[in-house]
Amino acid sequence: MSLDTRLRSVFNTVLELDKTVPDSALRYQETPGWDSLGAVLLISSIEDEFKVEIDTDRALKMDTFSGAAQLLRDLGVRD
Amino acid sequence: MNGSPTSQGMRESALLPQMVELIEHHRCACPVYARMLDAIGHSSGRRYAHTQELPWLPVRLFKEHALISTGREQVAVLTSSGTTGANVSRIALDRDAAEHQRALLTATLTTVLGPRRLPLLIIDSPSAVRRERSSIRGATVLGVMNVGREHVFALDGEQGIDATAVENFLQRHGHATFLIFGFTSLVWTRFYAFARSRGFDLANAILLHTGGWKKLADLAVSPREFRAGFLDATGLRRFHNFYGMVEQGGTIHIESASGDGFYCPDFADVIIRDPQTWEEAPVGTEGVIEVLSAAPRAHPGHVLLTEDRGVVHGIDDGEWPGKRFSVLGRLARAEPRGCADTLPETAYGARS
Repeated sequence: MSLDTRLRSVFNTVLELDKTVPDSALRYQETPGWDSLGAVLLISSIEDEFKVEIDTDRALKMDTFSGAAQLLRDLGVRD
Repeated sequence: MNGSPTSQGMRESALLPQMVELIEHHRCACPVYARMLDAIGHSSGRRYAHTQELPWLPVRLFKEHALISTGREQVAVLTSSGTTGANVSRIALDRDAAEHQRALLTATLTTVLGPRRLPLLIIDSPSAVRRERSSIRGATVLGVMNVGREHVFALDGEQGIDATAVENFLQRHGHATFLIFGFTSLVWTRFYAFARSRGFDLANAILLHTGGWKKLADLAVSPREFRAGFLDATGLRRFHNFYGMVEQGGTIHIESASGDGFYCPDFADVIIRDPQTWEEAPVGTEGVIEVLSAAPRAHPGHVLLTEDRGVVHGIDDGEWPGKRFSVLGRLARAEPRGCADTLPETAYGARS
């Protein structure tokens, strides 16, 4: 499974997303559920799924789906 | 702290123009605030040489009036933890303000905790961040959760200790640095006795706590006893108390590791005022705490006279530059009622 697919699956579960919403439409404070609590839960679930550790600063700046995917690549997660 | 201003003088010099800009911003955006400033002789164009001259609002005003400086959609109304509906501040936040608060709180916490998010044991119940999210309690827990990971709530829905959750957490994370956060009174009444009775080793913990001083005073526990109690029973030796209020969300004054007082973040300051003259009280002299913060833009909460008593212990003589201070408790008698017509003019910061 690709990184994007795995990541989207985490987003779908945590934020209880409609699967038809495109990845590019997922944005912090705009996507229902991705509020301040959703953000904290999302970071935790991403860490669990990809076995990475995300520092406070990066966690706070993660505000789009593509940003989250890029963050994982920066942390060495392979596609 | 935060590494920027290296002295109190530099802090005040940097803060003054920001505060003056904020006063003008709120004067334009909040007509009620503008009228109050006019009424106390702080009309537009007045010049200020020192932060001590800036006009303050009694914090109680926010319990009785909706003071709003944003025309944008409000995403949250935060309430303080008052006991009665009439005694609760209601602070409206737009999206930018809410995000700004989150970023500031997190930035201040990382100055003492470092960049890594540490495993976090929360001495509260999950409902704090779900059902009570609009309270300062819920918002604070949620804010602190940003600097933690693998969050575990130590209390159940009835505010009792969830022994299994706590023991599992400590088994998993107790061998390396981890974080405990809670409101001071909950930490003491719910967690301390439990930790002592189980003989927990909390030597690797950093305990972050806030608020609840009044409840703690009712229990006759001093900050010194609080620290000594934990150290003796559990080996816990790293404590950071912090002080803040819903009217200045995101601005927290944090205690140094040595416990020599609270310190202000770069964008904020405190002034202790003599309640008789309203002049700044000398170092070591008790007074009323005024808090200044360059953060609030969605409501005029940038210069506030609190209802707390405090004392500055020293300036530029502690662990970080700036003032180090203690909060001594709530003012003994009912404070200014907040309405313009019942407050002495000087209580708004006007100088004769």
